[in-house]
Amino acid sequence: MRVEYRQFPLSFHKYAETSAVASFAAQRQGKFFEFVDKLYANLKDQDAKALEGFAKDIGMDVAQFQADVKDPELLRAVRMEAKAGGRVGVSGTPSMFLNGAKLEARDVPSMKTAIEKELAEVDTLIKAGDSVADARRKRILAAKGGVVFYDYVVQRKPIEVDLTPPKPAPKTPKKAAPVDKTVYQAEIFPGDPMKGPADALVTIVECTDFQ
Amino acid sequence: MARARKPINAPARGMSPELKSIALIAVVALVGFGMWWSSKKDDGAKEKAAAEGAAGAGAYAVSIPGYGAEEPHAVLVKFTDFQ
Repeated sequence: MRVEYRQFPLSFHKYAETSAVASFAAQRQGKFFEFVDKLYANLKDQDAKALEGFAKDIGMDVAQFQADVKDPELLRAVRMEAKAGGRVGVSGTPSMFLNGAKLEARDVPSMKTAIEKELAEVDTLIKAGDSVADARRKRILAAKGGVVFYDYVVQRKPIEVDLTPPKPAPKTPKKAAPVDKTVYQAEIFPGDPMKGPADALVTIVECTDFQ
Repeated sequence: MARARKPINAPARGMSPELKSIALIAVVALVGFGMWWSSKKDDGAKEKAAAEGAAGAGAYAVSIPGYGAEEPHAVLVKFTDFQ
């Protein structure tokens, strides 16, 4: 088995694209997974300064990292992967594909079953005389949308992309949520399950079920 | 002094008019072919350079992040974002 990652930064996530570029900069230094761990641990704080801090924390060459995040080729790579994802039907994250077939399973037992089934299919092809690479390619091409997947995700066929730098996230003034001053009074009927004095100043009402 | 007359049965020198025409056509055709070949070669070189340029501009500048077997029976590809 092998697990591979592709970028699919969601447009409504403020730092998603810059973080994706930064993760590729980390990949250039062989630190992709350490860097991604930092990103996942700091979902709300991924501005440029924070990214540099993560690079420093995991022992990256920070000067090189700073140069790489400005490299338009990394932005191109991120956008090409995102477009490739769109071509194979990715619309949200995470989206997973097993030998080119969309993997709908999300829980571990279902994923394990799907992987074991796929490995058995590949083994059948190998026993029939295919090399491992040929067997894997045949399985990918046989999947729904497999030809497009093979071209753009496996072979990484270049896709034309716009390299306009990402727009800085709009600074929305933080409006304080209006305070709800409504006073609710819980009506207590005779026989209701309750504890405490009947003339309590504060009543906590718990709406619950038992499963 | 009388001029010596050219003997009637003297062998013709140079090319006959028909041969000259054929040679002229051949030369023109040869030059034309040469020019066509040269332009075709240039076009090929230009196309190759353009293709290389396009590939260079569009190629991924970073390797795929991943782990596991180098020659795997199955590959799980995960599209993700980090926020």
